Amino acid sequence: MATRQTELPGVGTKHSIDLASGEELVVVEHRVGHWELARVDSEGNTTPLATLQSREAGELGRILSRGSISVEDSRKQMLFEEFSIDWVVLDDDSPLIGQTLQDSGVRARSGASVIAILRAEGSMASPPPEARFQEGDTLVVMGHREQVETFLRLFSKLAPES
Amino acid sequence: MEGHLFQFALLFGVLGLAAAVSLSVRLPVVPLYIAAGVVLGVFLEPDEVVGFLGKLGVVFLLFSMGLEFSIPAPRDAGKFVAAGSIDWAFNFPVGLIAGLALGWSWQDSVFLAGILYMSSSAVVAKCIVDFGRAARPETETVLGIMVFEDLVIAFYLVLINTLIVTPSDEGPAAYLFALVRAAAFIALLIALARRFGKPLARLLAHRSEEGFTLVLFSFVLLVASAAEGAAGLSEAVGAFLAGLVIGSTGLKERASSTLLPFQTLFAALFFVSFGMSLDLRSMPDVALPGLVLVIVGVGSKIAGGYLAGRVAGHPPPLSAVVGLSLVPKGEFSVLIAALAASISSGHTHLAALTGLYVFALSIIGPIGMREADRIADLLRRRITPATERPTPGE
Repeated sequence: MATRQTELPGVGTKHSIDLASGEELVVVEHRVGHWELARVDSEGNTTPLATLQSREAGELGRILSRGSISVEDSRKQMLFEEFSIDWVVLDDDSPLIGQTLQDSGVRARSGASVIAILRAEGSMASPPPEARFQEGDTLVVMGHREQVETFLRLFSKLAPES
Repeated sequence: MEGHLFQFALLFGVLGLAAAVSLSVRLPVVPLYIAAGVVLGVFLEPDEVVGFLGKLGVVFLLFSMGLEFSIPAPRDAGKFVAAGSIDWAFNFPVGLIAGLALGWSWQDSVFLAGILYMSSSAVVAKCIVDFGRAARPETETVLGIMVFEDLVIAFYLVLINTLIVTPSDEGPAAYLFALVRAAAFIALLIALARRFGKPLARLLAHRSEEGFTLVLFSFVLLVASAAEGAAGLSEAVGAFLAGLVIGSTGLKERASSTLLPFQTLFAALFFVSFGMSLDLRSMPDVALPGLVLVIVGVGSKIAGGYLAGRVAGHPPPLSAVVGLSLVPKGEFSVLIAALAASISSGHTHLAALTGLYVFALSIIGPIGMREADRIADLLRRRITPATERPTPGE
């Protein structure tokens, strides 16, 4: 898979990805703020796919970078080559509420680690085993992508319908 | 003063109408400004104030061209230079030969060559966005050729200013002096930009919006007037260089958005005053050569673009689209015509011809671009026997 970036003077920036099918996926980032997606076959015939406003493009980017989890705008996420760090807000229906980090077995069940608990009363970096989850907590979760996805499926309502 | 206010009210009213018409018929606005100028020229005398504001329009146009100008990455440069050179080789000599064939002086023919050569990068880029062509493979080649043309026009403006406009006494020494002086000015400006670019950017960046606008205006006009006065270059070249300097400092976006409204306003006055300067009585005289020029000019743009597309590695239909995309003319052709008209009163035919030419090609060009696929398909059907023709996609 080869990707390229080309300047289109006066128009914007063009990103191209060579697909396994032999086609090319082209994403043009227009200077005026919208995005254009198109498919180009090996003979150079172009099929326009979609034109996205910047919000829509951001949403598409989040969906593609995470598999199929739909997310709120405010959620932050960092992706690296193999692992990701994710911010998860605990809603009232999360099974974790009231449990301690040790009892819940989040690490054993998902493989992902809770590296911080963020809450108004006082956040904890590297929370101790006896730290107890509360409604409204934001957990910073780190692990391989699949582990973080397992974590989201088990403990958050943001989980994808599988 | 009251007369002036009324005159400007009328001018901007007509220009606003022209802009609205251009939007509804989806054509570039420049030819409509020129046409509005021709009509207004019947009632109004060209005015010093309008002329001066139009000159500011040229300065801002060239400043934003310098601002946007970026040298393409070296790995692509080979392709751009090849495609751009073919475009030049097809179109510049055609204008030169056409001018000489019309019995014009070689200076006037050099002006005509520039007018026929320069596509309008602004119109082409706008058509590419409007017609949803940005993602297509041949668009890279088209815009690469535009970058090449912009680079050539910078050199062309320097050369015609130093060699044709400035020298009063002819002779090799005068030409040499003019060239050396221009080169020294450009070298000095580049050296100053390298040394003081960062402090200048810092000085500008922390200003309030008013401060930024005023200091920027002052800087652009200072460089433009220095180029005109001290170096024998035109204010247009100076403004282009000022744009290059600011473009390299990271203030590109802010400078561009600050100047855009002024550029829109004053450039419109430049085009309208060009239109007002055209003599309607000379139109019948230039109609026939104008028609021939349109046919020759469109033909050589398409032929050169086709070959450039093939050299850049595109299949024939897309190469034909490259050719059709290079047809639109606009601001630079008008700029060259206005420059030609400013140095001698004997150029009325050149100005009238350019007006007609730009008007025709600003209409033909975008229509050709919009219908490029259909035209390319038509050409292919003529060449490929029906049995071998692949079913068109979609």
